[in-house]
Amino acid sequence: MRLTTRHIDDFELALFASRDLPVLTRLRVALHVRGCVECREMVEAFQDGREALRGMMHRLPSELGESSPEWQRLTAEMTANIHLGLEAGECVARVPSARGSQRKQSGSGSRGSWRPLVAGAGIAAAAMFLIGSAWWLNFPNDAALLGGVFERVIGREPLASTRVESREPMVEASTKGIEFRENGGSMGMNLTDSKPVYTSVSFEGSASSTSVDMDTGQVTIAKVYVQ
Amino acid sequence: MKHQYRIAAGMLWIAGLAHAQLNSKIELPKDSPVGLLKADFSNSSASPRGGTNVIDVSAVLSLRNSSGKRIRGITLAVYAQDIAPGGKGSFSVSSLDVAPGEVFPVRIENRLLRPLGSVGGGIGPTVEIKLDGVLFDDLSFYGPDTLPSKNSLTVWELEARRDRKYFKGLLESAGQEGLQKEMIAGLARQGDRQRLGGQPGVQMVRGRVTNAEPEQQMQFAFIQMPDSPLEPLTGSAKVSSREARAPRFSVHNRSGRAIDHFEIAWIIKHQGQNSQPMREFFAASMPADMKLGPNQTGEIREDSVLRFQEPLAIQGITGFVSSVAFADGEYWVPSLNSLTGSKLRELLPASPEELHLQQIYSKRGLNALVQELKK
Repeated sequence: MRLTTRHIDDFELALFASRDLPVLTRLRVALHVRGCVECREMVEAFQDGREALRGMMHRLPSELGESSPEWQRLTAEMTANIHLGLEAGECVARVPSARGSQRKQSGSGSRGSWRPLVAGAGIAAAAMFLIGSAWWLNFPNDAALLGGVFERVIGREPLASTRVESREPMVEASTKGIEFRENGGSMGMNLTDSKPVYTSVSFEGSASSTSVDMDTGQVTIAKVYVQ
Repeated sequence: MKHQYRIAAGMLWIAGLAHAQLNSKIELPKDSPVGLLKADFSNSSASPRGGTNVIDVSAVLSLRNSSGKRIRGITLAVYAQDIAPGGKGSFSVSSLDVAPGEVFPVRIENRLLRPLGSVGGGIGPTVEIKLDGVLFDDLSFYGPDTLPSKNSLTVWELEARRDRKYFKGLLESAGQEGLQKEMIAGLARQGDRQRLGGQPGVQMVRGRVTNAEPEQQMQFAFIQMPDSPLEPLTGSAKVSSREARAPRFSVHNRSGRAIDHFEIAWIIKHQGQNSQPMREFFAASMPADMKLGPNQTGEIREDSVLRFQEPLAIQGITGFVSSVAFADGEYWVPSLNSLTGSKLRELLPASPEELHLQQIYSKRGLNALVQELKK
């Protein structure tokens, strides 16, 4: 059963998933989500994403741990800025009519009313940049996990068709060389200058790459192993 | 203002990573048959790229044979625990002929990637190099063999002896012209494999993998080598366009000697893209440590998953026994006649020794190759 024909905005769903909406808005969104399968899946995806990220918190450096004052401050700042961004968006949506009427009343007098908005947006942008930098600099690059979460959130893919990649360490062999990968770190061979003559993998959990030194004719067989 | 300080601190941190020094540690046992003369890491570098710190380890180790025997092969293990704690690497040099007292180089080229901001991100990574094994001309072996490297070094050496004997015989029977023809044929086979786009990329994954794609139980076809001590009886794997997993084989020891270890090679046949003809490629090898007495039959299973980088329309899988290690320390490798007769020579990469001889022929000419074979 669908109660409304329009879906709820993604960031409102995100705030709903994290219980950050004001009470009345939360009730409105809850009512919609109860009857809308797509939005419910989206909320679930946001919740799964939060859980997945929470699970990875222990990999953050201790100064950015979940219970650290720094992280608490960043979280509070981020939430405040999302609220500020939402309110600013609502202001912008109301501006055409308001600005039109102000123009009729006084030509340049309306300019001063933009200052708090511009300042707020600037602070929000700076804070988002800071948080983004903290994320980029401090988070493990677990592409498989995050990729799956974002695919579900952004792409609105049916969950059943989502391919779940293995998060186990793995080795890879291609014409470029061989590589061991684990948690965003990797060890690769022959990926730079010397192109391998051939590469292969073995069920013992290894990949091998054979290359020949053009000057000496020395044959080197490099291998990477999953321990 | 507060934000500006933080951003500046972040930039300085990134800049610091660019100059992260590589810490190297080389360990040789006290009774090692090789001694380290020099280790040159000067071409190594570290630089941030995107969200990762890229560390290129480029080193040349000069080692001296301090034993009383000729060295035919060596394996060095490489560890980078703070970057890839679940993995390790190795560099083996085969087809060597290093007399006692002689010095030889081992080149190490590694690329390590570490996400920026991972633990210890601002400190240079430590790369540890350890001796894993040395194979001598009498096929005796020294080393901890933790990788393990003894089987590989011994098989490469036996293949080298087989191929050298073949090329020497060819030189005697067909002269320099016959040898040249064979060298050109070998280089052409290698060129053909590369011209057809080389082998498709493959991955080996250990542990659970969820695959939503439909899969089928595919039976192996086997190439029987008349002189092989081990006969594959049946084999199957669960195959989809993305991966082959859960292989199981039944094998029979038809020799009169106990077997300790063997390897089964996989050739995958798939339909080429855009109505191109069928193609076959050497996809993987499957080693098995299994004790099989004379005339005994046994079964092996594997949990690892062979995954293809691109989906393949797989039409069939062929297997053959590529090496056998007996309990008495001797080994068996297929003869060149068996490989040529079953057309495996077209599909399999050349042995390290054949590559070594091809390189001498390409770089220094036929006369240099003839001199090399007369050694």
